[in-house]
Amino acid sequence: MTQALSADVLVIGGGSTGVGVAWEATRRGLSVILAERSNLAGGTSGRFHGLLHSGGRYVVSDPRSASECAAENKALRSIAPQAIEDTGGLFVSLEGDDPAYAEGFPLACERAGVEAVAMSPAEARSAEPAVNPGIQAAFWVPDASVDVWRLLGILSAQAAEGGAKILEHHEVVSFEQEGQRVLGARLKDSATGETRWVSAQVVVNATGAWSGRVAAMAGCEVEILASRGVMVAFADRLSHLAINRCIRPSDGDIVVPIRTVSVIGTTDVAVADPDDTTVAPEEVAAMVAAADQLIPGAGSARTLRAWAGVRPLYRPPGGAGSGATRTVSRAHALVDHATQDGVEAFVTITGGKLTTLRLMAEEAVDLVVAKIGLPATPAFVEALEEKPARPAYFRLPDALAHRESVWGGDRDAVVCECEGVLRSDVVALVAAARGRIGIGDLRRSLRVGMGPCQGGFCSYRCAGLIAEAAQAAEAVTEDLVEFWKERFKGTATVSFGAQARQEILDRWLYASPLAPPGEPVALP
Amino acid sequence: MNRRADAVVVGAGLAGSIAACRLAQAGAEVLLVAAGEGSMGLAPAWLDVLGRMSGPVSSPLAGMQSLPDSHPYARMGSGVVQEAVEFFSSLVSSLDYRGGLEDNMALPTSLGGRHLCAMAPPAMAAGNLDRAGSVAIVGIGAMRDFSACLVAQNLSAGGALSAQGVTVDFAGAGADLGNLDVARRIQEPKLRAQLGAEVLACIGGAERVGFPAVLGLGAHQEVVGDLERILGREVFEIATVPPSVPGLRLSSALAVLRRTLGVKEVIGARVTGFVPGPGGVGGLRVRAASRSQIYEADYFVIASGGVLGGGIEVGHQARSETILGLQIPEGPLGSLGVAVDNSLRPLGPSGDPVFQNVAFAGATVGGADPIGELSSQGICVATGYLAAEVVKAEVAKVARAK
Repeated sequence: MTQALSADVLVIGGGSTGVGVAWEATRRGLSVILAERSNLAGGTSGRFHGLLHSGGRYVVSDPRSASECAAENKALRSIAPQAIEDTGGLFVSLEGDDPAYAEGFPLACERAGVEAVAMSPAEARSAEPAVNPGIQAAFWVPDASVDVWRLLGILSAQAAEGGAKILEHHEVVSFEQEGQRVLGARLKDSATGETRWVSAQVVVNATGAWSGRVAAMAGCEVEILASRGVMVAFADRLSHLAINRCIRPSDGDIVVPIRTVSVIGTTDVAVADPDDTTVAPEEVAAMVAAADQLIPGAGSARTLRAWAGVRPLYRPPGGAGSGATRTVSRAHALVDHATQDGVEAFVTITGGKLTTLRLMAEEAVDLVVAKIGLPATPAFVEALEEKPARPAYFRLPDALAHRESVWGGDRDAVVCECEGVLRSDVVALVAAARGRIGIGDLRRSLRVGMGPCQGGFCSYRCAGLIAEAAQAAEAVTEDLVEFWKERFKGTATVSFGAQARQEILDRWLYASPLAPPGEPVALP
Repeated sequence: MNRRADAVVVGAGLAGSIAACRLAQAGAEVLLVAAGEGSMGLAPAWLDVLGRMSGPVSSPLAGMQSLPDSHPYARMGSGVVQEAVEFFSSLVSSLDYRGGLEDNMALPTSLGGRHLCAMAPPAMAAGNLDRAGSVAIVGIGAMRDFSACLVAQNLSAGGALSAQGVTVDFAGAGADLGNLDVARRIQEPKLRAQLGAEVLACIGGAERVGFPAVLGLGAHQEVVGDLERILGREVFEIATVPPSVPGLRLSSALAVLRRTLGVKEVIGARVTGFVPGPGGVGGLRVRAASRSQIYEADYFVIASGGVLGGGIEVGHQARSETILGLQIPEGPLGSLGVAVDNSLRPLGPSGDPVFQNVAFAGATVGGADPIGELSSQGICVATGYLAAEVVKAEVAKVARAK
């Protein structure tokens, strides 16, 4: 066993909730260790559609969630504008949709504190020419899209600056308990296989869809309804604005433009296992058809990949029976296991949405502070208080203009044509990580491998740059092959038209000019 | 106005070119129509015939004996495959292909793997990994699609030979070079002399020197000759990702041959459908620029490509062949193709030929897994050759009848 660590707070889970808690606790001056079994956003957070909710989706079905989304939308915009594209969004009702829902929408928004501006269909069509021309009613809302890896990267970097220790690839093996008190946890480092002991005054379980399992390890009960949602990414931005269908939450009711793609979401299917992220071909077809209703032509647009994420829906003890997952609240829940299960120093924060991560973190840390008190000096309040007059949102045109200004000639080379990634971007990240970096990390930071070629060309170039800088070719090759397999997992259900041609090309590349030594690459 | 020929060939790739050349050599009047130049520029010019079944295949000829009956090689028999490959070699004799169907050679990939293929042009064949000794692998600094470091380390780890990776800069070439940029630049005698001198300074005692396969387009032989002279040892080329420079050399060699043999061709034209005729197909509707024409013939060879080349379309529900609208049997994406009989005629759902005067060739033909088997070029050459043989025989019958 490697050396023991200790901190005021041990956060289990490196998704949006856990990173939020680590960030908030560090801000308040607590010492923090965060343990994540894979990489940051490796669970549900990295598998969502990218929408920073205006709250409009929930004004009728779940007004508390709606109000929280509205307030937290503003908060995240000021905390991490670089991770957010200020797209704006529309709620539109189509022919055949219940007109009563659209009629009641403005009042419901007003009651929930969600900003919504009624537009005539003509105004909406001029604001978003891609939208279905047959819309009956339209409302503008402050939707935005958020790059989750960038968001969690910003928050975790700020936390790390404040002294937090972020342990990726560390999974909880067991909790250490003395009587009815949790003293800490044993973590297994998946890279080395070693276990290490972390003691903490409070352990925060922020493991989302997995929080029932983790709580059970401490002898506590948390009932989670795991609900799988399927998303499909198109190879282009199909619209400028996020387009929501103005109906009760249902399958395929949102198209989000994010970076170079558009994502349609989503479904809602109860699953027994939170690791069950399978995607059925019928679900993909249904999503594409739903996108085509919001944006005519989307049905024949090139699809890039499909994936599923598993939402954690919290069901309080003795709560409602086995209702459909659609009707379960999207609101979050904070469980003090001291009062619920008689287990001290153990807290679960779960449910909720990525948009409300800050609020969830605040409530969880309030409870932690109520238990263990607060040190004298907060760590980095000042960074937050400094708010620029105009938030510096991520803008795709700015990013492209920068790429164009340095591309070609003697200055720089392109590594990924699809996403406009430069060799200097990759080299800088590899150097910063002292070579301890994989192609998956480059994808999350730079988006290599996320465009139409799905890594066919850029992944090899990245592997070459990593090998030259630091690592043995054998390890880099292994990582490259794993990356290819991972990319192929998301493409099997969308192999139509142009993307089928791309898939054949990629399969051939990995079997012929890029064949690795030894056995052929076993692609799904 | 309609155009007419003895045979119309669709596709200017490897299969279409072989079929057109073979027919033209036999004296038929051939009209070739194609959307583009084919996909030969994607693949390295190696001739994959059969490299892998349940494991690596050391002899394509022996391996072919145990293929399922529906496989194109099994349908035509290994004798025809052999004839076809011999025809190919003699057709492109200027490229001087090495190897044969008895033994596969193992050529290095851009990731230091072993690629098993039957034949390859001399500069690629010289990279055979079964030859002992030490090699130096040369990378070019600004070239984005080749990592000498990955190739050399992975080759050495294989244990068969010792490889050392070196990277040199191409003077004044800028920071971003594609395969074709390097291939054109290296055709300048002065520039390749400089490059050769730089390489010489850092390769120590290596017995052979491997470069990415970018050693010149038209001036390939001069480039290789000069480098071998400067370095004083054998030079070889390592296959890269597309665009493939050796693939483009093969593509232009075949384009020249088609013209020399009198094939009439219309490149940049789409075949949008067909009109029925006595043997099934009377003519093909061809759209070039803004006008539509019907190309009539007694016989048709369709080598319009597979999923990648555009001859097969994969829709949300069904998969279909794009010219005759044939439904493609369900199967893994890599194995989709038109079901054919032993004369390459397309089969309907009942298993009977649905068009009597059409032969399919190349990646459009089903029954194989060209990527997994490493058989792409072999299938193109063999089916292109067989399609021409079938049509030749039919044309001769028509001539006799007249």
